Amino acid sequence: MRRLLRWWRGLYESPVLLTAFAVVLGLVVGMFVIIFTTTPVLDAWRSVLNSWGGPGHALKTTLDHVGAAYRAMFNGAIIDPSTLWHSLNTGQGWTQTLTPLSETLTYATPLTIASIGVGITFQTGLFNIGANGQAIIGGIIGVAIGSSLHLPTIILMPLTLLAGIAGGIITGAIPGLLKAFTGAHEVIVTLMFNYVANLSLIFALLSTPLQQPGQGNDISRTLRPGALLSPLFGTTSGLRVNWGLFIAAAIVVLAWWFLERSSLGFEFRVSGANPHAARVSGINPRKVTIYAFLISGGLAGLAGITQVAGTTHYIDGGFLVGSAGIGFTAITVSLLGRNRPIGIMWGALLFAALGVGGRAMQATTGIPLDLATIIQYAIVLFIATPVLVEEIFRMRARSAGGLQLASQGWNT
Amino acid sequence: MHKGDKACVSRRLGTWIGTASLVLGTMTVGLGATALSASASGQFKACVVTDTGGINDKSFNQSAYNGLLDAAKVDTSIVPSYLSSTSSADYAPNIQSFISQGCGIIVTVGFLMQNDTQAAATANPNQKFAIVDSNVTGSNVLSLNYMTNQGAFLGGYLAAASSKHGVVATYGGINITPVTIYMNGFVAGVRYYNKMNHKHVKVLGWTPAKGTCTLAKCDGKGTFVNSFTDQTAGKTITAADFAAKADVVFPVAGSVGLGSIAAAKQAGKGHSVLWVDSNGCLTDAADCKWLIGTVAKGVEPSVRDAVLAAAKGTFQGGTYLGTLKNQGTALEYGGIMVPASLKKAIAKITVGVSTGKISVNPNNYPAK
Amino acid sequence: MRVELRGITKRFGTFTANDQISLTVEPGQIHCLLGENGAGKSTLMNVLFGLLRPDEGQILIDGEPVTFANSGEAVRRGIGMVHQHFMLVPVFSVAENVVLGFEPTKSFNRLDRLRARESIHEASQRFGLEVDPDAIVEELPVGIQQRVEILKALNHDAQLLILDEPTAVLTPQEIDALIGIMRSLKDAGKSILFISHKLREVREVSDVITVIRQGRVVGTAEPTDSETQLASLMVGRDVSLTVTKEAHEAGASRLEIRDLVVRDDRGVAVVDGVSLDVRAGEIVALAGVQGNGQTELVEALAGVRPVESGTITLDGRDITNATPREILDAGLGHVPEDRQRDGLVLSMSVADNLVLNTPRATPYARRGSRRRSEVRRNAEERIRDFDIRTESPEAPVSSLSGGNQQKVILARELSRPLKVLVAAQPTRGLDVGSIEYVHRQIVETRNAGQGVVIISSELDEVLALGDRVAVMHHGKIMGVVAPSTSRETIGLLMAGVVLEEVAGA
Repeated sequence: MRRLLRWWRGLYESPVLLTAFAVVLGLVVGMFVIIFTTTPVLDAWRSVLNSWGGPGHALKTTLDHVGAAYRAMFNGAIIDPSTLWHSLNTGQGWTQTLTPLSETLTYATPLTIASIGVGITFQTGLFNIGANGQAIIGGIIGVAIGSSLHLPTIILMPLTLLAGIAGGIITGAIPGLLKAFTGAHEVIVTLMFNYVANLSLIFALLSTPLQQPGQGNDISRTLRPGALLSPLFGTTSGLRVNWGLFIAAAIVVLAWWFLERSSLGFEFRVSGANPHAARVSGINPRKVTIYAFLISGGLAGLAGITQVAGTTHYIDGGFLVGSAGIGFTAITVSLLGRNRPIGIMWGALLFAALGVGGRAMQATTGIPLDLATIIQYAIVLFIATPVLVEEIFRMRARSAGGLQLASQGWNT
Repeated sequence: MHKGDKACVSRRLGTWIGTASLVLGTMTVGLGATALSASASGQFKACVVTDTGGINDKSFNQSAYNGLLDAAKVDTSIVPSYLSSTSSADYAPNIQSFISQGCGIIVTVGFLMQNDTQAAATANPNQKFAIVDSNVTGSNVLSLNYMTNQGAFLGGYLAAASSKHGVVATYGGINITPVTIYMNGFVAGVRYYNKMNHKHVKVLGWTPAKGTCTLAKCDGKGTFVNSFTDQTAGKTITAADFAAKADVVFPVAGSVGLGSIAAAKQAGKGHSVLWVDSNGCLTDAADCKWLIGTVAKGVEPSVRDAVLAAAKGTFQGGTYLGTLKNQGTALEYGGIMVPASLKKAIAKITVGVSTGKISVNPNNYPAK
Repeated sequence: MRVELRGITKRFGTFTANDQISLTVEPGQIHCLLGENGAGKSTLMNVLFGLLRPDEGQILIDGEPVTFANSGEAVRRGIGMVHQHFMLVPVFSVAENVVLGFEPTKSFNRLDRLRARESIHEASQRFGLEVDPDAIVEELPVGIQQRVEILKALNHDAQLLILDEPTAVLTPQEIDALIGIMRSLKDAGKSILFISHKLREVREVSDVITVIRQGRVVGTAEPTDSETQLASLMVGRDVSLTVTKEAHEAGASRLEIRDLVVRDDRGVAVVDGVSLDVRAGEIVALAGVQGNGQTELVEALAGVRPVESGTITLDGRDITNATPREILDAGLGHVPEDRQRDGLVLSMSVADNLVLNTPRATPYARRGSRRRSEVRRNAEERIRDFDIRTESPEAPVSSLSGGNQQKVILARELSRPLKVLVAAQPTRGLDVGSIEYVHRQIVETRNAGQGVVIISSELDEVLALGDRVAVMHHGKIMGVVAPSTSRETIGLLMAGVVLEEVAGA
């Protein structure tokens, strides 16, 4: 066990390598899923012994299908080389060429913000499982402001975002305060508040003036034009990537500064790495807990309103519900990014690319989008289960002088 | 680690890198080649974008996709394809993705897709669309709507006539028009039964507001689980209804209704469920003996017809309104025996509603 | 029984804990394994007891090679081990604990209590291990609990007894009693492997001394060798064991503790009416066996444990139940007992740990933003001044040795403006060289006119450092005496005898 632990620590110091291995393994897992769920491939393998050419045919069929699927994913998530070539030669069709990249960035935008919020609580040794609920409330409050006030863009836009942040802060503050003053476990409270948020969403959409006038459906008013995060290349460009991208980028930089350079961030990290030493060193655990939840909730709320203002411009009954719950995905992405802002940014981009590419794959090859989800979580599994990765790759420990992990209980 | 591991490391690593490059290699080798299922000549691509419920929601997403499959059985040149959405942010790119793939017709599902479908239809006047449960303008769009209160009216009559205790119940997923219009018709059917037969069958779970119920607005107060998936909540509500002497329950909440069937099983014989949307005896044959019937919504046939028309070149935009008359909604019987006399009475009422002689507005009948 | 270890090597990854260690324990011999913390003593004993498998080398019992897959096999071959932390069931009686795992039974698997008691009685008689078989273990003093452990091993017919740091938790009187027991065991033909780093005991009881350092046997010594010789062998260089401490005039009172009552986590009043004064320029050493309330007293002083009643005054300012931040700012320096748990963040850099409790102070931060150049400059200075051995200021503090980790804490505390320094177990687990250094720093702090409180379970340290020695027992101060007081008197105080009675005796 000790050897594995040290190896894991070693690789943990090289997250890029670890993630790269995990991505490759995730794609291999996806390959097997394709083999076992695609009828022509299965048929080819069934008849592998029927003729001399059977094995070759089966292998070719497999590689054709797997290749087509992953090629579609790549082309749909990043760039399609053939349309790029076409655009470069003719100067035409740039919208189509850039759409995949634009989509990936569009999806990564709110995900990055929410994941950084979750990552900050993780770094503080707290668990915010309620980011999704905080994002939903952020979205509701943000839409309430952004769809009702008649103000110039320069005021309405920031006001809408601030309203979203405020919604998240309020929702995050309750578990924070309960944890700080009563010791109520934040995992339970934040988890439960997701249900509160889901029901608040239905209530807001059906029984308040937020519901679109003249509607019996669970859909909200649309944000006023001044409250929108407009597409970077204009509304007519067809590319959805919007100014939210800059908000996300700013959050990455700010969060990095906060954790690495600010006094409060230092206190957060000390509390997360060793709560006993933090207390002895005069860091007030209550203050840290409350601030961590305010910041995390605020970022979740910002993620919620960024999603609305950047893409849909209204909310409906399916807003961040189920598999669209970026607040839940954020927990995974944060893990993927080792709770560090820069790592989280890459993690969010990877998740967004797999999601967007998965849709393209479904559209062109008919392989369900769920394959992308399988690959996403296989990657996370491989990162969270380093022992398995080690067993597969049999890598030698890179460094013996182990970094002390914040997590405890490895030796037991 | 033991001696010799180093060699082993590089060997294993080599194997895996080999495998990985094989995969990545195939991704690049075939660049520029046509995608496997890209449309070849003579084929007609029919595409559906589902909402967040996905392709197996046992509700209108599934029905719409089944409509495509049905059309493909009739006309073999039709190639069905679908894209599921995980959130409302996916609608626009999914529609766009199908447009660029050259789909002959794109079917979208649900009111929540109205905005994005409208935008795409306006921007692409040559692209044919059909949208279920919504209204989009344009000559290239067919809006499919269903007066399910007519079918539910028959269901209400059947339920009231079958009730031993004189109490029936309904509940909905969320308080939105496509749901409440069912519940409203159900209540109307019960009231009509009471009026015609001088009975006092009570309805739990829905009290219609004043005025007429339309596809755009159908208000009232009632019981909702606030979910289309929470079967436990469905079971709880139904058990409470049974405790209040109800013996027929009409859940209008997708798969939540399975919870009602579970509650009926627990309560035992004499308790039954009136299913919704698509025939429960076909989608869930094992539980057919607990179903008194299904208030069906004709999404599947109407989507099929729209796709076939588009493939044939006879597609026309506009509005389709499903009624009892064109079988856009209907009452289908389940696994519980219904007396022939009652079936005969319901057949007569069907004609009455179709011809407009019998109103399906509950406010036209006395509430008891 | 003759036990021989031949060329034992045990590695953990790249770290070699035991390197070709050979030693022989003759029948009826008390063999001492002397070495500093981390020298590899415990690893070697775990190998011998079957808890670890050696990578190389073999174990021979009476000339016959044996391998142990687990400790049960070692026990069957006549090896018994008394761990530092006792493996007893607190709510069971002595007899039940002793026979646990090898219960004598009557028909229907009923425990034969009579036979269990008889076997204890017999062992007590033979080896002078007086214990009441019916006493409940948790109600017994630590010294007696240790006897139960020894009895347990003997009951399994141990011929070789391994005692791992047996004196760490004992009062001086209990240590004397233990030595008596060890001698009678020896007379009965049992062999004993005695592990310790305390030179006094080692010389008193051993027949043969094997010294190990950094996993290697560096030599054998005779009990007649001087302590300085043993220490030099153990550390690998010449060391001075005495603290040079010039006389110093104590000034005004700096820390006043009055009738302090503090409860532990279970709600027991473990500090029960303590009053104590510490003056500027004096070291008050708090002696006492571990677990008599010293830990909780320090926690209360540092503000991390609530005070139930009584007051703490620091330089005229009431700091009773103040927050740790307020207390740190008021000028209380705190070297925590468990330095890795309470004093350091192991994953963080040396530089960050050096400002752990002053991250917002000038010049380390300005307007909420940390000034890393200042933090680094401070670290470089401290590393130089306090001779902290580290690769760089940015190296994680976990990469430092225990002694250097302690230096990080001392450097941090002593470079703040202090009124009183409270150091709990400041040299626990440190090598002799580091101990010298820490002692010198503490004396210099006192010479600079600050009040110092030292909590230590090492009587030698208490007597060497303290200007006054306060002895704690069961949450009370039994007496405050001069460091010249005899060890015997202090031992009686540690055992709970009231000062007047000691004086009268």
